[in-house]
Amino acid sequence: MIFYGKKITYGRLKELIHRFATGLADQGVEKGDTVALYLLNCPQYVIAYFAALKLGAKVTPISPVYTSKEVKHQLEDSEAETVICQDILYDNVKKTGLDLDRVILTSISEYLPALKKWFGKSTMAKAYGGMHLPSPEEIKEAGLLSFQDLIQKYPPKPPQVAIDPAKDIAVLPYTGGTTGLPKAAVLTHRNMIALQAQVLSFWPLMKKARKWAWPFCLSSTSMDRWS
Amino acid sequence: MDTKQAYLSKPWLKYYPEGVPEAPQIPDLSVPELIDRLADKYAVRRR
Repeated sequence: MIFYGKKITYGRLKELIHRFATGLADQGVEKGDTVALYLLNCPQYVIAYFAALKLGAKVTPISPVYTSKEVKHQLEDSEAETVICQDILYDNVKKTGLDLDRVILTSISEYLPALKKWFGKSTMAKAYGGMHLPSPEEIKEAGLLSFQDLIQKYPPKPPQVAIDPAKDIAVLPYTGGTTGLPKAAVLTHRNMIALQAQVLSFWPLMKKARKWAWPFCLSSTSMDRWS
Repeated sequence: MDTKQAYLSKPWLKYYPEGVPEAPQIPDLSVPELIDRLADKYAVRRR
């Protein structure tokens, strides 16, 4: 995986996924729970997505352009107890007024190369000039968790969770907001595996490109990123 | 041929590129099982 020049091998990616999964499990995330991803295009999306699935949790990806009202609908409807959130988007989660079990913050700069991290700060400050970043006091008071703290604190030893591909739900992308509020498309693990098999059948070149493991990150907000 | 018969004859198959199967094989795996396998297989390879 390459993010603005920063390269992460699949071996390292697996380690990051397992570390984060271990951290999520220690924070109480279990099979059947819903984990919401309210993130921009960044490695944390991939890490969090597969870490949640590793625990048998369901992932519901929330569009980063959603307002707090839209975020609230999806969090309530999907019964998400956990949100993994870009720091600059936290305000919209806070405004929902929901009592979530855990909110995990991450910054876009965490996986940028050193130089781009420096440039990235000024670019992001311009792009998200009106956004409010939570202060250290606010983070402490609200009990917000840090994505990187979990990655660094926990070993890559997540609990082994039995998953039935045919029955267990993997992803809850929300869709179809033209005639009302968006609704979840309920996708099992087998649905996601079948999707990958279909993509590979029509796109044999992807086998050689080694990007082929990742068309799973399918959602109303991420289809264009990873497929 | 009525609509139902036309559907059952799967007319779209003739537009599939050569080598594309009518129905792909779907492995009986969960997503994390497949991801772990692939990550191990390509653990250290770079472009």
